[in-house]
Amino acid sequence: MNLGELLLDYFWILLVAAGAYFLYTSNRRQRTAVVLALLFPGAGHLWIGRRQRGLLLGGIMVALFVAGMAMADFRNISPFERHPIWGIAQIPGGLMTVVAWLATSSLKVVRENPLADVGALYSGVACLLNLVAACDVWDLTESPEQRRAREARAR
Amino acid sequence: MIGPVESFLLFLPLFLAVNIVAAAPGRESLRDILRAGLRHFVIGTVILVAASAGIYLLMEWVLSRPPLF
Repeated sequence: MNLGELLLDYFWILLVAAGAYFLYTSNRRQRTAVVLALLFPGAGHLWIGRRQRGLLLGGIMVALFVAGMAMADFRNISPFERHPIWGIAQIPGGLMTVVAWLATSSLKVVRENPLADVGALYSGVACLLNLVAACDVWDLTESPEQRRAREARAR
Repeated sequence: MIGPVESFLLFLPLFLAVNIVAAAPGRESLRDILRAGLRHFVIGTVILVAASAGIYLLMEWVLSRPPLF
């Protein structure tokens, strides 16, 4: 079994563990905000009222994602056909990934594209950056009790 | 196949975007985020270029030496 197969077969365990940790340690506002953030880049920030922050972060991620698609001839979002490993990176993109995949699933690779890997990298990184944005939303929706507990642990 | 110059030019906007988004957690104002992100981008690029050049020159020297056996 090579590394790619290991990743594809077992990363679900990490995903479930991360989800369980998140559910155990978060409050209701955090859960809603993070789920929205993972659904679409910037949505979590917009929901908690941080409009400029949401537009900046969401705008950067969407621009990076679209630039990646353009470089790869719009054929880089193919998690079940061509790119299962990149598909793991694209999961945090949420609806952005799903819409891109549905819109481009009928396209076939008809020419050799030297920028295909770069495009996959741009789009994959854009989706992974959504995890950072989700962490930011989690921090911003921390309750005073959680903040006090965190500061007490740090002392 | 893209050349080294194109690779480097394509790397720059990606690295800038990563640094700006990564600077967001823990910072309140957008100005601070952009300033920190840009600073990390510039310093990171300089370090990467310097380290790459250093490794390239080191390997050039290593490869120019006669083999040990």
